[in-house]
Amino acid sequence: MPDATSAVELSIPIPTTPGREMPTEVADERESLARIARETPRDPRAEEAFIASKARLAQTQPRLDRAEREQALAQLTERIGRERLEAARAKEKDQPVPGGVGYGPFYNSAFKSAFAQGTSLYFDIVCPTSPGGNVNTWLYLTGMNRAGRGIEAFVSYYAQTQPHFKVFDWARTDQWQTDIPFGNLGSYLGTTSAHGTSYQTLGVWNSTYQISSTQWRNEALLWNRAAGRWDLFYRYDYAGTLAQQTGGWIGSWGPIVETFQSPYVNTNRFGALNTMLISRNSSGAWGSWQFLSAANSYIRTDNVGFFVVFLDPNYAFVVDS
Amino acid sequence: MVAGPEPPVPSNGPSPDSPTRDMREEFARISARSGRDPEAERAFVENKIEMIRTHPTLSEAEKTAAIAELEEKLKGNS
Repeated sequence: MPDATSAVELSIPIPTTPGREMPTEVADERESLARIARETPRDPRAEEAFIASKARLAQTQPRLDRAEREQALAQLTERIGRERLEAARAKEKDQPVPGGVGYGPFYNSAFKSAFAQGTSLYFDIVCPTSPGGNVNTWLYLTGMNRAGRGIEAFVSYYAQTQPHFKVFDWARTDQWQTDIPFGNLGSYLGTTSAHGTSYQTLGVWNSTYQISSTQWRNEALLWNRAAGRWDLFYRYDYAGTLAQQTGGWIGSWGPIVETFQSPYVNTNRFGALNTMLISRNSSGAWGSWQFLSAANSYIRTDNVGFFVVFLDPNYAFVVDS
Repeated sequence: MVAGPEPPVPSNGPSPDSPTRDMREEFARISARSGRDPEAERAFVENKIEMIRTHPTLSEAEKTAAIAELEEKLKGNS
């Protein structure tokens, strides 16, 4: 950078820090810096990404309520210009968006490993027949029972098409198992009330437990509401150890909204109700079902546009956008 | 406390005396009709890795270990 071209007099005091020597002279470098700036090619993609990111920030800022987010976006639109903002956001949609967690509890590490011969999870998945809003890729309503080689029995949305109920078994090499379109789940879909509102729900119960000194079992049942019974729909037996089940990261998520885009806007409500777990001790005895508590878990949200409709820490929640 | 390998039924579901029906064949038959979706399966795995990378409380070492664990379990993914 060239030497300073001229001294400048400022009408404001120069910053000083007590005990530290700071410069007292001011040089006018505007021309030289402007020249450098002119010589640096513009990067339209970076500029657009910056604008789009600001819009995303406005729409997902967790401390702002719905009206405040809209206000922030309106302000941004006014400053940037609607056309420019929309162009930037359209280009952003072409870029891969990192996946994440829209909302939901993860187990604390102590609780994640607090079982010996078995663990089991029950929850009512709040799962509308259509995701609504701007969902244009996958969105999962999933959950694990803590076991590292357990299963995910989950609702899978893709855009606005018919959702499917699926099983991914972490104990297998051919992990993809059950795949049932919602149209075949009429006997299992019902309504559950929470905080004065009725939600369409699917009662899912998945377990992992030891069946011999070396063998474990993954099992999943659905609550058949029409018949008033549990329907076993999945079972897999395999060789395993307790360390494989209690250690590691897999199995650490409770009922979560797993996301694939950002931000989500105007979606229907998703969530989980009546989340309960039960543990089997080293003597082979099962304890009693307990609601998932805030002492055993923490909420993760990656701020992708969801609002909390309610949270009963941490066994029930509903979100929308 | 309940002995035996199977967990007791959840307390808010059908009564413990309600029958349990084995529907595995029926579900397997419907699933077979659905077919595989390689793109969806790839997205499932990639998203799990992103969940680790963006996890707010895991250290870098924990993230590395978690991704290694995931890759190990998915080695035989078919």
